[in-house]
Amino acid sequence: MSKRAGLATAAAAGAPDAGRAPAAGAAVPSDDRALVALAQKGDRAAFRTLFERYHRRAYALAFGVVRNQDDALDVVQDAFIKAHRHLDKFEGQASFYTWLYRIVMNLAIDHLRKHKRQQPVDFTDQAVENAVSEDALLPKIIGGNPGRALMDREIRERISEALDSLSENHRAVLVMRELDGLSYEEMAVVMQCSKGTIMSRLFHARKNMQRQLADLYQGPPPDADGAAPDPEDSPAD
Amino acid sequence: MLAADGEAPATDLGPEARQTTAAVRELGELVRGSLELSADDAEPRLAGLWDLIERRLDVAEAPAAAPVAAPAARPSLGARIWSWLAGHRSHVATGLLSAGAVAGLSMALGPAPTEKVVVKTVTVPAVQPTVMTGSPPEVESMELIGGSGTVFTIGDDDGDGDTAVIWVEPDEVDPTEGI
Amino acid sequence: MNKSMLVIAGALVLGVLVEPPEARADVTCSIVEIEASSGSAPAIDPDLKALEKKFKRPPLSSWNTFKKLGGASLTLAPQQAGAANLVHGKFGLLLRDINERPGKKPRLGLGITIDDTAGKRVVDIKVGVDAGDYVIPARPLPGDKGHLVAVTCK
Repeated sequence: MSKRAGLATAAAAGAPDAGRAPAAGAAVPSDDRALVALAQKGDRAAFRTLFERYHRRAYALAFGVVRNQDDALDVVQDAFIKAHRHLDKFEGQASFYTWLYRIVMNLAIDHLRKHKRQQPVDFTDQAVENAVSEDALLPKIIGGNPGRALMDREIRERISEALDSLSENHRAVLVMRELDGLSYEEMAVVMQCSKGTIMSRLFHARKNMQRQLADLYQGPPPDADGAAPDPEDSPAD
Repeated sequence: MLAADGEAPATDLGPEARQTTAAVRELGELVRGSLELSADDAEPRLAGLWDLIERRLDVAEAPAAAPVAAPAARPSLGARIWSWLAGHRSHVATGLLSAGAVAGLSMALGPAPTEKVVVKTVTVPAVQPTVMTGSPPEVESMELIGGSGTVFTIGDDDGDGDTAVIWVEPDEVDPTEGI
Repeated sequence: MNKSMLVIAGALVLGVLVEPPEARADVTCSIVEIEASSGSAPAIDPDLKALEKKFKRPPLSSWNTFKKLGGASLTLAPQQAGAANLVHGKFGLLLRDINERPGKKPRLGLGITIDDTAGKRVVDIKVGVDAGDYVIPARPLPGDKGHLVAVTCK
């Protein structure tokens, strides 16, 4: 997997939980808290450090939602401007990154709505909440190393197209979950909705992704001891 | 799915549920990897993002434009000419050099005093001035804190250009913490 | 020799007076702050004559009285920002870029911000506009009045 450390590098510089946003209510990394306190007093260098720490991750989140490089850069820029402007009102109840995350997410979704891009219609979250079950998701996998799969340009484009095909709400929860490993509760806070709605959106996001990538799926994953499945046993697609 | 997301223990899963968990995790790896590669693609522009942010922060914190100072008492004519020459020293030097070159050229190429000079008048057809066409103003992005906006375009009907009026209405409070 | 002297004199004058053309490096932006209201009779500040026709078109025709509160002039290079105090807050302007287009007016990328008197950002827009055209952020004021900031750059 190329440059997986990239997104975590900036966070690893200070945050102890590299690659994962601090959970809501968990102890905020002390140097993040110190930086925020300095920035609140007008220390531009402290705010810049926060920017350097989180801008790549913020970009990946924004891009995951708006699916356009120019728009994602605008969202990130606007998010940090907004964060700086309202820094004096940040009370530290959530981590700085979770707070920033919410700003990025809100701006990204607002951006999509303002530009009125053609969006697939969401299923009614409440109506399908009861349909979430393990059986409804395919057990098949693409096979092999995901990192190696992404080096295949065609597969990378297919994944990008599959993400594009999701509705903004479905894509937002999938990106939050897979990019930063946010819990259902954390995502519910970010998106200002119930945990059940998050579960429903995540389920449908994955279901739609699997449907879009159906022809890439080869068969069941290796069994518990790592042995590759016998190709003769793979069900026909 | 719950087990794959760490929202439920993975201890009591049957074989197919374990396979589903593995598939969900693999899909997650693919999505995460795809987004990280997208961030890599944007790296050159991300590198310049802080400069753009800093400029906007500077605008927000910049002091007001200084009021236009009243013009000082006019100096004497000689002082003004000297001041102008001092300010345009390079142009004066260029002009003198050009004059010398042109003088030399004119003496080398100019007609002999006894040669008859014929003046020809050539009428150049008037060049039609290019009509500078324009486009209406375009609002590329609009962030209205606690409000909504509407863009009206007043068309150009008498040659003075299009005008964008951005009407801002205050709105309810943003639910994000502290904002 | 008389003709040569004339040529020398002409070249001297020409060489001194003609400055080398400079590449377009900056623009000058005019900012006019206006208070709009509805009075018993229409009235437009004489300093606002250039905008009179626009005041008669919607949405500005919602009012009939236009009073100039103040003005400022900013000369900006690309990627340069400037600011001006307003009676009703503070104005910020960023010249993002200049796009010279053959046969057309240059297109200017502007960033405009307005803070209210409490320091709260009420307008933050990025706009593309032809040189010489107007952008007018407008917002309500108490008493059914309007606050307009007319911006034009060339």
